[in-house]
Amino acid sequence: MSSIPSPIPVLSPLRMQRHPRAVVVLTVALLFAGGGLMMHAESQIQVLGLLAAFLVMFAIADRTPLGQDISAICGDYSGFANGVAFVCALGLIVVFRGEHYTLLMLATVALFSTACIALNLQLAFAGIANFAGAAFFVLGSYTAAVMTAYAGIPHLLILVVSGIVTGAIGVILLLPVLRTRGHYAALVTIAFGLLLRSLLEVNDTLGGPQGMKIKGFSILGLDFNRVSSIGPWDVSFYLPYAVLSICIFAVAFTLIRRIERSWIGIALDAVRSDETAASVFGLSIARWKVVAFLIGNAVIGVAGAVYGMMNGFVTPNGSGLGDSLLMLSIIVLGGLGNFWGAVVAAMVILVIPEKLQAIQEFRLLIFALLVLAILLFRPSGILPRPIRDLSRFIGRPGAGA
Amino acid sequence: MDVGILAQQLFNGLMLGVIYAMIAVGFSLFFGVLDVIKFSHGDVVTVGAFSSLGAVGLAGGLVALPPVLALASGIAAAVTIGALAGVIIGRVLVLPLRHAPGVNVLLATLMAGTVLREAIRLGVPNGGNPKPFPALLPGGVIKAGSFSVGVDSVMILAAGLLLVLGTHLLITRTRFGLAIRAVAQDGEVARLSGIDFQTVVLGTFALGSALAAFAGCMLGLYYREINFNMGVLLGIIGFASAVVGGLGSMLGPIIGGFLFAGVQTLVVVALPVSSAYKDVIAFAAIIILIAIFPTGLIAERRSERV
Amino acid sequence: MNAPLLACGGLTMRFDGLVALDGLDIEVGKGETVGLVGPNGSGKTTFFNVVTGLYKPSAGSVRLDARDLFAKPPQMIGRAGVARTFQRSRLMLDQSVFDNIVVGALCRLDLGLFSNLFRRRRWCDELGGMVDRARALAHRFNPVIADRLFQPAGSFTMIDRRRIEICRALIGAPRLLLLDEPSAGMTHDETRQLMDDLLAFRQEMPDLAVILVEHEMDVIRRVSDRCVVLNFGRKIFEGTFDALIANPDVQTAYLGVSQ
Ligand SMILES: Nc1ncnc2c1ncn2[C@@H]1O[C@H](COP(=O)(O)OP(=O)(O)OP(=O)(O)O)[C@@H](O)[C@H]1O
Ligand SMILES: [Mg+2]
Repeated sequence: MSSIPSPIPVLSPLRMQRHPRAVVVLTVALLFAGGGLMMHAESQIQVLGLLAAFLVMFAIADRTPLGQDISAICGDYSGFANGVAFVCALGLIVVFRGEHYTLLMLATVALFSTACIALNLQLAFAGIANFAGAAFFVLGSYTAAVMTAYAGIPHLLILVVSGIVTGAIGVILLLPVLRTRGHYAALVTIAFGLLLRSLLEVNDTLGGPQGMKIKGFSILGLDFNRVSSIGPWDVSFYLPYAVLSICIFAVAFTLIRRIERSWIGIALDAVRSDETAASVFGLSIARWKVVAFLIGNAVIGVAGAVYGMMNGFVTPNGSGLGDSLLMLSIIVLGGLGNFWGAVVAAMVILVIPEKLQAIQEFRLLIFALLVLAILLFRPSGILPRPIRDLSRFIGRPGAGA
Repeated sequence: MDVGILAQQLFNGLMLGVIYAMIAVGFSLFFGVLDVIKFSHGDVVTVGAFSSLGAVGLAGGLVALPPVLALASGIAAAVTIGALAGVIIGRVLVLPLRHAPGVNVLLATLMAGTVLREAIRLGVPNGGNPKPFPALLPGGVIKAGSFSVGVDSVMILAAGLLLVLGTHLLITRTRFGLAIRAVAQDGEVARLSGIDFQTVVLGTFALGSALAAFAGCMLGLYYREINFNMGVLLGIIGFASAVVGGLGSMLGPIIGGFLFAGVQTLVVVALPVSSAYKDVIAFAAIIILIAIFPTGLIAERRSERV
Repeated sequence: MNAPLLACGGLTMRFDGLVALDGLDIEVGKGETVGLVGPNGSGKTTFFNVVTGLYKPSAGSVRLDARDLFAKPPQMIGRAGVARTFQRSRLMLDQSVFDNIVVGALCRLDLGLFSNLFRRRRWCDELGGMVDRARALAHRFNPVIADRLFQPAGSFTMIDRRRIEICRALIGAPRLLLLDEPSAGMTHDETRQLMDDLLAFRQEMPDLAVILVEHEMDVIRRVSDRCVVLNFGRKIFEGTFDALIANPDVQTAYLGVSQ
């Protein structure tokens, strides 16, 4: 902890240390408020102002002792911070309950972040470069499209099956992905994404280039698409989707975070960073790559299913290499292995171009340049992955901390 | 089946094969000297095609050039700008990221490709749509029974074959080629024996990229139409050819390119579902081939020292 | 000596034209420490790589306690109880020391998806046990490492990294330990310290067999029960250290005079 006195008395290091939870709540709430405003903002001035504010906050967090202290506290209380974040996200939904567009955006960010966390499991932990993320995402949507056509299948089950189906389709790629390394494996997933897209386009069973319609999500007789009010409030029908998306995100986040902080997470790191050493110590390279690849694709599929049901249709368009690259850009930009980094980057990549019409046409170009800059000058991303500190899970504080 | 149509398909296959080989050679060369895959290579093909289109258009707008000179200026532009693009990407991205994790290089070059692609789409007037490419080669048709082929096509094919052969000779017979092979063998040793590592690497990038850009020019002349994202597919097929043939070798990617074109042509000839599924089958072939030969037909020989 | 723990017979490893191991016979008994010496390039590391399954030998046999391990996949050999260090340190420099050390025991822990994800309390208990073991082990070799168990391995000196590697090899309670120049880069005193620590540890694991590759003859003399000398992949001597010193073949091999 730094001993430099803070210019703002409330934020003196000592006080912050005494009330760490308050610091966490304030920080997370501030970030979510900013994020919410960003998604809601309509004028270009507002967007640019918010963007500038975020950049300043980031610079403070990254460069000043005060910011570093706050980041450290949030890191130490990460479980608590995640809980606060969940509540804040729900809070945003309440605030923007009637705004179609804002809620759609929020749900979209949540679902893409979910997919990106899954990609993190594959790339940042297991070291499998999956350049077909968007393809698996769209596969989830198609599964939902096919299954919702049959009435009587509970929609929650459809989500589960979408995950299983995408995971199972990923099995086709296991053999080539396992037998190869690095660029060769990348080629396999790139080829798969392109194959899927051209197949969906030329084959008419799944609607050809026009794609398919998907029925809205419903659970326990509640049809999400018909929701128009809750109690006395008029709400957007996107509200239940936003809630569902955030819940899906929370589940995926918890699941993959637990994988990271378990023996499996260590095994994945070992396999990724040095296959030779890992195998000498009795770890099966194939087993862990399979686990990460299949679970990752399944989670992407579930996110894709919800996304499809929310939009009401799916076309082969979203499955191209460009979209897969966009997903990978998100995780590289956010910081490989940092889940909240992926959320921040998803905001940057999905929301800002929607808001700044001036750059819409140039979005791909700008992101490509942005990712290049990150790779060259800050390869660990906006929020680098913190070291896995398991000492917090044992009954006593870590020695020497 | 009609012999003429068969011959026609064979010719198409050869043309595709030459183009794939020209692209694959670059992948193999880059991998040889630096152990990296430069995924932007496919888009260098597009850069070549558009540069020559631009040069021809520009030159034609200023003075009425005879087709030969227009062609020459088009080729010169393609080769120069293509080589330049390759060198810049090599210098700015690939060399600095050489020691970073492989995925970073992969992503960086994919993004560099995206930059090239988007720059063309946004920078060329109406760049999002296919562009017609002028016919600069002499017309005329060679006929033999039901088989007929344009003189221009034959010239393109011959040029491609000559270039591939020339590159092969350059690599195997010249001092520059020797330096490339030395660096590919062992960069450290090559450096110690007085070879300027960076120059050789960038020279290799220039060579491979010029070849790809020329292939782009050929594609324009052959199909008479170019497109800002034609490089994606070509890059992947070129890479796949190089992988299948064996990355790092010189002959491998050439064989791989022709093999790939052969498979694609065969499918079109043999299967009635035809050309719509051409790409689907090409990609399926890539996946299956890699599953069977994970390090290429001519296996990349490499036992990691522990 | 009753049935040996490790028995290698006629081990041969060829790289293209080069014969790196040439019909090598080596046996190691339970609780024995064998010093493996030889000039550079004589095949010591290659021998380790063959025993641990990283290289597939061209011919011969490898048995651990009568179990055939010839050309088996490395993970199988690792699980059978063979652990090693590497001549060129191989750690996950971005991960914590604890993560690195525990890799050596992972294959003996519960790696089931369900128990790791949903039986968190049990997992935390298991974690506590492993942290205690890792800390105790690290403490033996350098208390500083034990104090900084959750800091990145890359923040340690080369010498401490070697110690961490030894901890990683020991934490899985192996039956056979292969040490490839563990003292490389250490000063004389540090080497002595390391060997003292290792000897102390051996007291508690009387059945552990060790093969030690080492260039410092002093170290070999202190710790090994028996010595094997390799040259050009062939065994040119086997016996006690004193006999080794006196052996003329060994002297010529080291002086580089061809026979
Ligand atoms: N993967 C490999 N490919 C080709 N040759 C190899 C390989 N590994 C080792 N060799 C060769 O095998 C021989 C034995 O090497 P090894 O590393 O086993 O020697 P060493 O006894 O450990 O030497 P040092 O004391 O230098 O560590 C050397 O000639 C080496 O060049
Ligand atoms: Mg050695």
